[in-house]
Amino acid sequence: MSGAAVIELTSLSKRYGSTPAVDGLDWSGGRGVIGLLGPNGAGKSTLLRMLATVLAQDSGAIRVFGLDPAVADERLAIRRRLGYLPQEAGLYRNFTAYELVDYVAVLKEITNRPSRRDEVRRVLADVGLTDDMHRRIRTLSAGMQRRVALAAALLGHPDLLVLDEPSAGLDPDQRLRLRTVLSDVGQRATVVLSTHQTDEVAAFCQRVLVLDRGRLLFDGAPRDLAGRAADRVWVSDAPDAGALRSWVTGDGDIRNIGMPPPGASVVEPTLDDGYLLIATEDGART
Amino acid sequence: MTAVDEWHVSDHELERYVNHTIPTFARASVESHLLECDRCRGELTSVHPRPVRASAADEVWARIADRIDVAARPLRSSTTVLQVSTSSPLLILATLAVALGVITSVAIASAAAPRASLPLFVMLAPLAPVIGAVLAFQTGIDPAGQLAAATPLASGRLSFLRALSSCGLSLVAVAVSSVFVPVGLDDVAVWLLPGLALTALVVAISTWVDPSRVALGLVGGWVVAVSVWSWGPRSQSVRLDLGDFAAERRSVQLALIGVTICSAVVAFVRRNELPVWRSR
Repeated sequence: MSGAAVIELTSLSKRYGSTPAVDGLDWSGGRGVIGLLGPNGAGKSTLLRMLATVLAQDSGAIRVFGLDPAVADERLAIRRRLGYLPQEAGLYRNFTAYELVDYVAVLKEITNRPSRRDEVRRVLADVGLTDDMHRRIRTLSAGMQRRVALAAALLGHPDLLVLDEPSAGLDPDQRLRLRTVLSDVGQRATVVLSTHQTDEVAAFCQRVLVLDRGRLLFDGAPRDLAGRAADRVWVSDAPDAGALRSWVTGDGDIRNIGMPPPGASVVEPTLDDGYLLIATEDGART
Repeated sequence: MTAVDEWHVSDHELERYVNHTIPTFARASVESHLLECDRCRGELTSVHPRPVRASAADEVWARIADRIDVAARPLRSSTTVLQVSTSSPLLILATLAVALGVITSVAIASAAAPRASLPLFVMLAPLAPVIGAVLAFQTGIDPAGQLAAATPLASGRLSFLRALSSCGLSLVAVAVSSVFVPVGLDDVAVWLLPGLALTALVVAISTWVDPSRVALGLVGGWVVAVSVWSWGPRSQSVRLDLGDFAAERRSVQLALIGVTICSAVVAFVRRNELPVWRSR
């Protein structure tokens, strides 16, 4: 993570009825890959939609590249440097993958046709769809359709890439390719993505935010999130009544987080442990 | 990254991984290592270089496309406009449905009460382009609307282009269908000009407020005005006279043309101000 702040959030709030989706968020971030972790309903998609300039906040302020998305001209300037992959990216099923990405390229003001053609091919190659670019969307698998939408987001080398669960529906091979692509993009731009997978955050995010009920519970490096659970994780043969959370691991042991009892076999914490500990402690407080 | 520093995936294994010729158990092992090891991820990138070179057929097609592009350069901007404005099949269908609905209503009314058909046509025909334009502003009408929402053109210009195409399509549909009602082509001004003026007003005002509300207000006003004109207490003396309106009411026609042009200018100037693309 380096450079000046690309995103600045000040007391940012958004409610749906009486339910807070984002609740007084203060945060700023610069270049690199930033992962948003949190349960369903944590406010990840709402925050990403506000960053992508498609949803207005109720109160507080957002600045992207120092610009205010509430001002029409500044919103346009942000959108010229933005790539956005929504959670539910509908596609024209009768278009080919090439035609769909080409259409979004038109919307992104890439009007010079030879340049547009090169750019469309580049992003389709980045997501591994070169061989399938002339197939109709309706004949592509869900994972391939997701990659078409991702290719559209990558058009024009955006300085800010906002991705809502980009790896949803991708197989391991495709996920690996995605990580390689996004790591490359993160070298020169800001990538903000939401995910449910802590291994994804560990693999290529330089910074992780944990959200729950619209509040920021953690902001730091992935290793620091795991570090939050240092000396707080132990394994046992049976669920420990004193643990905050206990679950059965793949090898049949019971893994516990909380305050270990004397003599417990404390183990090295993982990112999952750190995330679960923070979320559980917060749930117990509220 | 301590444990992974001691062992790395060989080039041969990486190639087999990329080519899907590695056994499943080894694939899982290689993948879990790749997730942890920057060096091997870098190696993987060189084994599977990007961008992938296009096939010979693609290269040939690209050259053909270039030739066509040069020949069609004068049309380029208009084809881009066409691509954007007609990219929602649902919108085109909905627009046609509205236009046909209007003409069907008039045809049914014409059969039931011949004297009512003309005022009804004048009342309903201008509404088709207005409704078509309002439909163009609905994000739900576009299956790929979410994908388009954060692009520069979605700041208003996309909706304006669609509103234009939708309005044009409905006008053509109504004009073609008007052969079934007692309105000749000479009398086109009596419904076309109000239709254009109302549509342009809706598009211009929608840069401030929700186009559906604007349309509801203007359409309601138009329906009441035509009803009073045609069936109100003074209807016998100020009965709508098509010939009079089309041929002699130049001032009214000019006023409608003026409203259309002014609204179009306002819409163009404020083309990036459309609030509907930022939901609350």
